[in-house]
Amino acid sequence: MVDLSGVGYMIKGIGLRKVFKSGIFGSKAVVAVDGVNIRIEEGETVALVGESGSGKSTLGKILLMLIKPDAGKVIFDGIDLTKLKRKELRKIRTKMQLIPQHPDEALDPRWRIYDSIAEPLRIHKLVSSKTEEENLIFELIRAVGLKEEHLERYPYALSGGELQRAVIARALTLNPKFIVCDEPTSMLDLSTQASIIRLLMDLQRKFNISYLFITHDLELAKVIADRILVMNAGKIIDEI
Amino acid sequence: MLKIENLKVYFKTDLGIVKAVDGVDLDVHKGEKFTLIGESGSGKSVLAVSILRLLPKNAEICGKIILNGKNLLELGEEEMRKIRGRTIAWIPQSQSSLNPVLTVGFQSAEPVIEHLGLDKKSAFTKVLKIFDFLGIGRNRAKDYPHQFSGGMRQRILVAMGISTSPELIIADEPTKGLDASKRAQIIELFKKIEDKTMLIITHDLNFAERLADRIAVMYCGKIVEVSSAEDFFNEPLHPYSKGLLDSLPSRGLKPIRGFQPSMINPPKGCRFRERCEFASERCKNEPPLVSVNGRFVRCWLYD
Repeated sequence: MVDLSGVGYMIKGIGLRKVFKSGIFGSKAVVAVDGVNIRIEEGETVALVGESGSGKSTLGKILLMLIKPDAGKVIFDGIDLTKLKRKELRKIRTKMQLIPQHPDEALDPRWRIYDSIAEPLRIHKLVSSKTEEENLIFELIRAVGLKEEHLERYPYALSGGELQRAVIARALTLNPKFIVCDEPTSMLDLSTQASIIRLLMDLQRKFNISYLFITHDLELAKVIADRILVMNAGKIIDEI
Repeated sequence: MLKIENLKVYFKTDLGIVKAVDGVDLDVHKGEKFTLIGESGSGKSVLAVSILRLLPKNAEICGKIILNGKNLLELGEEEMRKIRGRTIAWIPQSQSSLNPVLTVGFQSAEPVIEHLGLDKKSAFTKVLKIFDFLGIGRNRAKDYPHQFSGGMRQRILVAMGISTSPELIIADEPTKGLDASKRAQIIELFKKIEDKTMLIITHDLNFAERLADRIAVMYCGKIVEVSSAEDFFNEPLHPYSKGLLDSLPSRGLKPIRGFQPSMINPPKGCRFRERCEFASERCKNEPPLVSVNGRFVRCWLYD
């Protein structure tokens, strides 16, 4: 079993900026993230709230280096990620994960849940045998509250809450230290939302994970986060 | 005004019969905002669609839906067509309900021309007034749906709904997919339409709290509680209602244990029994809908 415990890392963004260009020769420009400084301590939950279109998701993706910023630095575990080559970045990526808003779109519809969860292990060659892989996945699936029978199913045969648990299990396979949760419960029912949030908080305590929690539910942000950042038009305008 | 008696809607599927609505009685009074809440898959949308008789072909429906003394289930298709959009308006969920190739002004005027028999010009005048009233702005009537944001599109759907001055408005999850500030705006918008009878389907409890006069809770095809909004949020009766409220972030974020049962083979007796902390032997029998201080609850605890 891969060791899931241990120390967490801190993540920092300095002077981040991202402009999306469209139109002829980039004539239409949208400043999605505009000079943002952000710092998330190890084991901390920072909630990022704001209206749709305020740049929350873009900021989250920049911190994961899924979008390359036009200016600024992303510092994770003391390393500036913007300076890394693809290959080096790939190694670091195992430590950072994304839990997306739509779990149904995040899993390949033609893959069994088992294969979706196992894929990161296979890509990063973290397990040497089939049995090791199975043991690890069974352990993960229990940690997120699914049963082994779910592994043989395809995404269409799972409910929204079950899918989101499967996505969380996949995000955990690589023992991440930083997870961006992009409105992970906005498509779920109230009671399911409560159980998914509980799960995320339990996992955080167990594995010392830092969360950037993107949401537009202020009530929820107040309950789960250590700090709340308010974003508007690409800038962080307030901290609660 | 709207009275539903022992309504059953069953769907025939390859896996068996899905009992989406299984013996529902409801009474919506004139002028009130009646809210139906419940988790996805509880049958609340099916209940609403069956009032308009827009169910798919594999649905079987029985019981009574009485609007102003007429049983809608006995009407012919032509009579029903006159009621849809005229007497009962339907405000669908936001995303894709608008026609992308027609201007929003034209789309909103269409039911007015069709149902009220107005000519094009006066229909447009009427629609422009409504656009102003709802904060869309008359200057945007010539725009197409894709030029609007999600919140604005929701407003247009509301405009379309009220344009024929219907007696009953049914709104299906009007705040779904909107962010917090847009949600607040939509609530204000619904408050503006005061005098209309409304049946609102939602699982957004904040929305229900701020808007509803009375609340009905649906669970697995059955109504388990009907209360005034105030009573419901102060002191919910049914254990499921309590569970729902407790899972709100502001009330402790406590999930209800277990999962919603299948509607093909729902548990006998009380359908919430397996998830309920108060369950006892009695719950293996179907609980009656009991009246408690003018409220209704389907639970043995109150018998």
